[in-house]
Amino acid sequence: MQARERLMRVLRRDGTPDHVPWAPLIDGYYMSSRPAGTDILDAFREIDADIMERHVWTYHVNMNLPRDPGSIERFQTKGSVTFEEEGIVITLRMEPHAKGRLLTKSYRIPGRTLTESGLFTEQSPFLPFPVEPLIRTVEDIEAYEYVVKRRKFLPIYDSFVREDARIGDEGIATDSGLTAPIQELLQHTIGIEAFYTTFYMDYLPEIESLMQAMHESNLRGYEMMAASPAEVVIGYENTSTSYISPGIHRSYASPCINDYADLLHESGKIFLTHRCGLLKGLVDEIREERDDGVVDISPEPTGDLPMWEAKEAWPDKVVLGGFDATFLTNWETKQIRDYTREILTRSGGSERLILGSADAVPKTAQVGNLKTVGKFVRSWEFQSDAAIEGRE
Amino acid sequence: MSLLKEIGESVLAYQPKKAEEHTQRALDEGKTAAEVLNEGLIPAMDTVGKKYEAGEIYVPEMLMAAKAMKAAMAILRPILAEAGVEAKGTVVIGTVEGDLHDIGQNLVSIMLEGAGYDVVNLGIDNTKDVFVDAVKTSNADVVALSALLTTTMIQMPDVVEGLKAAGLRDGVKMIIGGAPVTEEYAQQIGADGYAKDAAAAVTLVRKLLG
Repeated sequence: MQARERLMRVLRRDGTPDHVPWAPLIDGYYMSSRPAGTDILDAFREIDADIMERHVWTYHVNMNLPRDPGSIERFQTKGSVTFEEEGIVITLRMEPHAKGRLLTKSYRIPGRTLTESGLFTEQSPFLPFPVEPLIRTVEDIEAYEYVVKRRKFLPIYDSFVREDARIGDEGIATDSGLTAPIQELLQHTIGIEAFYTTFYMDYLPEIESLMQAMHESNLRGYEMMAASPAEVVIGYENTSTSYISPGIHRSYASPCINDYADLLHESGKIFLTHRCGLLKGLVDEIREERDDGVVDISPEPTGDLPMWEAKEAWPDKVVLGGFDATFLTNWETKQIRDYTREILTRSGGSERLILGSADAVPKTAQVGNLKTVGKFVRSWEFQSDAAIEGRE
Repeated sequence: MSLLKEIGESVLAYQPKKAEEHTQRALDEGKTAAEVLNEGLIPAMDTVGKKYEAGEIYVPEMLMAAKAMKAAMAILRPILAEAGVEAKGTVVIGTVEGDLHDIGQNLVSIMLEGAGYDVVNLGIDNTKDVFVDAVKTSNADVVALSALLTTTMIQMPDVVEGLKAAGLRDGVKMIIGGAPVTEEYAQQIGADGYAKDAAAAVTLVRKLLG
């Protein structure tokens, strides 16, 4: 059986795969550890994984990057670029910083300019650490709502089709969905402390109005994904009780996730949610949500949910994940093998189960450890443990 | 309900304005700042910690309770300082070099302050020298190191070695925390303890300082 069929059988819950798929989250973080110029598909092949490529977008957001040809090159050469969308002047600036590179983005709207910045460092070369959040005052909320209401989504289906064809039967390409507004505000636009202690406590109507505007905008994005060639969409929720409680999640995140799921289901899409944090306190809320699966699930120490507990807790969902960054980095081959065996044994069958990394594979991960999982799952159902160990 | 209990209740109900008002009223009615702290605020924050450990509340509620506590502490702090009331101990806290994630260590700081400790929060991205200097200047009892990434947790042993080299290690307890960090790792690098979250950090500091 080819990897595409194997993955889709599990994700569509349509028949039994020949073995449990192994589909870790490979992105720029791990790729920065590979030789320059390595193709991401080769990185999957190197570790005997079923390719489940992430972030193969089917849409472009007009406020994110300029669209005119050559603008990205100008940005890379000059370190800054300015463009206009819907009457909003957007400037992106990259500057050297003692700890790396500082990216600043500003939105100039009538009467106000909103600015945010993030730092790319050696430890995090692709995902910037937030330095200054976009929303710092109550006035910023209204200004950002102005921006959000003018956000537009433009299809880039051709590039998705090309990448999916390049993968072929070796796996699938997945689209990236938009995050529930409360998660976006907590993780990026405001920050956790300020969200709760300033805005949630003192300006709840204003923040609810913003979240509603963000959700309505997100729905327009999901409509575009529903019409796209992507079969699988992953919403990067990063759900965790390290910054949201069950009550707040139920009130503000669940309804949005359900709306996105319903919209995608109308077009036959599979909607998965990336939730890499502490989930034990949220198992009931997640069980009730209408997404088809939860991916990049983390056991301790980063998360708190072993795969077998996740599979049992959510009987209507596919579960993917299991290998914490610290396991992939620090463990010996035998520990990885034993843990793989434990997951497979305790998870009770191959249906609804995909092994993967807990969150993204770190650049510190040992290639040998990643390969071990790939080899083990291929042999698991058909050979004895002794035979598996003999092959490795 | 006694006024001191009302102060505690306003913290547990996430009401900073009420915490402030009740604190001022308690002082006006003759309570000392130490009484308000020890009989009103610290028990309330202890309850917050216990509820957090029991899974009854989570980080948002902890932050909101802390806001109420801070509102009361803003009134008490200058009075406590003037009266020479000493904290239960001093904790230096920060993320290690290269790590720019501050939410975890901020939560630990909040809970330690709520438990009556002085906290020197160094913020993010601190070299071993910054920790060594802070321990020297603050005469700290505890150093708390935080890291969120597998690529930054490896800085923790350097701080341990830095304190040893400066002759400070024997006089200070070292605790560590952060997503990829474990009890085993604490033992491996020669730290005195590991805390999985902010409430556990308070329990650990109390245990280490006796």
